[in-house]
Amino acid sequence: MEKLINILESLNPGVDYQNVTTLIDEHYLDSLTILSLVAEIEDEFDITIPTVEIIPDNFNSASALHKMIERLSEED
Amino acid sequence: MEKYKNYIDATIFLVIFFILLNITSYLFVPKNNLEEFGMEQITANGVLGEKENTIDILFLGDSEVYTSIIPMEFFNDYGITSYVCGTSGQRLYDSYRFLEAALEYQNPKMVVLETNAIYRKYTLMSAIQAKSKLLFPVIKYHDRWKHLSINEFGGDINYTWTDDNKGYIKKDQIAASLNPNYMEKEEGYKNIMPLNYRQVVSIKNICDQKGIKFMLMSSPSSINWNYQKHNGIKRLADNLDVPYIDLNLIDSLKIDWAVDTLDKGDHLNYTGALKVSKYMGAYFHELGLFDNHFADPVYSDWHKALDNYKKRV
Amino acid sequence: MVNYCNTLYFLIFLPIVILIYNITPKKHRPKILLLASYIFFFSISGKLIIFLIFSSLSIHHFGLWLESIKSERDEILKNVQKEDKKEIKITYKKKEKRIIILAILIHLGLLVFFKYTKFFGININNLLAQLKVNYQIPLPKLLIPIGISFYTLEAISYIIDVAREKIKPEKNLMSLALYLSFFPKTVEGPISRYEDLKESLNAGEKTTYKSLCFGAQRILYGLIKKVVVADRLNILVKSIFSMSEFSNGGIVALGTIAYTIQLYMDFSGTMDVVIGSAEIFNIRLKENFRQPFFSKSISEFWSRWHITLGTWFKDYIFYPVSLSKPMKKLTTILRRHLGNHFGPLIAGSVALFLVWLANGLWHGAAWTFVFFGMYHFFFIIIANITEPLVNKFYCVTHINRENIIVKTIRIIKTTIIVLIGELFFRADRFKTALAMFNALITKFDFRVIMSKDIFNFGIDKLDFIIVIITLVFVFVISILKEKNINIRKILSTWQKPLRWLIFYILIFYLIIFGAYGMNYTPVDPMYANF
Repeated sequence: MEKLINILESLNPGVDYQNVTTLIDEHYLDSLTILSLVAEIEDEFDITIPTVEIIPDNFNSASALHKMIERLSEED
Repeated sequence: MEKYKNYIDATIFLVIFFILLNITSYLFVPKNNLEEFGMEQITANGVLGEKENTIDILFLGDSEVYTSIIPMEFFNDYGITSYVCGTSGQRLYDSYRFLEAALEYQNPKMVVLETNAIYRKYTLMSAIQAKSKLLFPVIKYHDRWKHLSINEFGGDINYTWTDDNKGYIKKDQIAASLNPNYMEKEEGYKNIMPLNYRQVVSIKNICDQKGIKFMLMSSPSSINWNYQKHNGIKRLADNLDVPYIDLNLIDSLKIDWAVDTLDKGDHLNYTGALKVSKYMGAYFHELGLFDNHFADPVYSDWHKALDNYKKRV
Repeated sequence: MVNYCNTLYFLIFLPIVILIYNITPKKHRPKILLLASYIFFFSISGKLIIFLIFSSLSIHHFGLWLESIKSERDEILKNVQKEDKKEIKITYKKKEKRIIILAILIHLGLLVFFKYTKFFGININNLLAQLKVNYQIPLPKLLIPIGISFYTLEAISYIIDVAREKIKPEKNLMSLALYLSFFPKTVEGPISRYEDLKESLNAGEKTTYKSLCFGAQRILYGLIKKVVVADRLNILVKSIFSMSEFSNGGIVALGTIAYTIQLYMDFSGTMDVVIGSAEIFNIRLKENFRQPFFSKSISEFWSRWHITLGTWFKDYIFYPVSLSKPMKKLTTILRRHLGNHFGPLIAGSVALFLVWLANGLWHGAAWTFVFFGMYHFFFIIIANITEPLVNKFYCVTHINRENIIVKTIRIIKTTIIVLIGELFFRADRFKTALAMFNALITKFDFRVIMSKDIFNFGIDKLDFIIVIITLVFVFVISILKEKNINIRKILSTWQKPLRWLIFYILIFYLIIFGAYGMNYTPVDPMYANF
């Protein structure tokens, strides 16, 4: 989780990632940032994020992202 | 009980809605049959401004009828009063509406339907829509909000205007017909759509109820008419047991298709209309149904109209 | 019956369907909806309904085909060593890919055939004439199945979602047929996803007093937007855009603003009618608009305007392209050299380019639409490139970008960009659009808007007043919506007489001030042609 927050902070600083649950809905993360984010997460956690996972539900909060990462690591 | 509450609510809502619809309709309906009062198709609606129970014959139909029938000729020759409720592209449901509206004030002895409208197709939907506009005139006249004046609110309907030509529209152009031999004898008939058939029957039914004679008439038109259509209407007339005159087949009319038409045989111009009206006047006179109102003081307005008509021809 | 806003639809068709739907046993209600949808489709497009039926059969078949391949794969995977698994997975992935491509080609092929044959024909003929070849290919007169642009995207999304294992393939053909044809969304969308509609389409929930009232309110609101404003402005827009010479930029500005308002009122109004109609059957369609004219940037505008089209492009073009293997590699390499911001820019731009090309072409086969797509692409890319700069600017100057004045300026800037885009979108020909744009820049005379000249385009002072009153009404409702205030809920707490009074006023406002009947030609929903 901490690793993830660090990634988010480095890509797009100035957001309270612990608590915000509308990262997509309120446009905190734009589509380009998501591209970076996906690349970074894939590197860092050694997983592949398929396109189908890129939906607001998975990206709206750090905890949702974390859940997705855990799920994908198990599947692999 | 809770369950019925919603039904009761909905019903009350609708009842109030229809009351309001009627009130607004009353406000928006033209209070006179003039254009500045929002009336449409004023030439044909001029019949509403005629003195009550003064019209002998009512003509219904499309442009074929208002270019070929000259009521002033009938009055001049035989003292017969008539009015042409013709509108361009008239559908039979329009004809029916004109008849209904005119019968509110008039009690004619005869109604003549020009037959070109019988072959004009329309959908059930367009008929229903026209009908719904009649039920709630606000739908039809809503756009009058811009021109509505205060004193129109609450006033009574009072139609005052009538047309000097009594619905006839005079055209003087000449454009010769390209197919003067359009009435070659043919077997077979053009079918009448069931919807149109029923509408003709309903027009006949009101006439029957009021003791009005009903007849069909085909104006000369080398573009719109042919023998198959004649046969179709003939069958209809036989089925309904009503008289039918097809002016396209009357040789004694002597329509000259080189000079009597304004648009290559589609409609008649004044000279053509005159021939038709002379013939039809004699026909009506011979029926012996109509009194001669020429000297009757009640019809003094008709003499003014006749003077105007004569000035123009 | 193309028009959801004509009396035939909401006074006859819809009530009859509601009635029959509710007296039918729950189990059979979806069938009633399907039958009604096919009657609706048939009444507009006649025999072309076979293409809609074909699409339903096609996605049903492809879904099950993908399913059988997947289960075959799973069966084999059970019995093999771990090291072989990867290879088998790859083989099957390839197989699936071929099927998806075939399916997409079929559906897209039909769409292209119907929508673009004429465009290609005209351009080829122009080319032939340029090359002085004495031959012109004959252009067939094609009727287009209504809504094919919308249901084709729905069909493709279904197949891809099945392949991505986002949804299970549907065995029930009828359910898929209803998904593609559901009558409220036939003509203009919203472009829906099967996973969102599946349950409610098949539930056959009966119409409740609440769903009926809420649905009817929404329909009424939509009709006011469309019939009072859009159809009235249509007269003005038509006469300005069909002028042969543009001597005054002020008039062009008036026409452009009027067109943009017309388009918004027409499309979002129809959406209100559509979503309201579906709501009566307890079916929730996705919202297509979220107060687009409160957007602070072009990309935000497109997340608020025709939302379902935007998300479709995002899910099925933008991310698949920008996250495809070669693009990912590119992004990773570039990020090392250019940093976090510019790293993904190339991949993102390539994907965005495709999205906007598709967006332009989706609206129709014409260069004005292609330009329209590229125009928005340009502004979004510029915003992406300059973002760090802009951030720095706000940082250095200590200006808070959420400050109301800054926000207003950003909204106005966005609106102006959108307006100019719509000018090109509406113009009949690219040349006309350029002439208009030229007049806008070089011959702008503000006085004309304040003068009586603006009443020369078919609508008079009173018409303008009605338009403005209605727009104020819509604006107030938009602000409430933007603040997440649930207007309907508040309304339902008011006393009944007051509530009813409001409805009567709105209904009669529509009846009296609607631009319909004798003096107006009926206007089809504008997005029906796309």
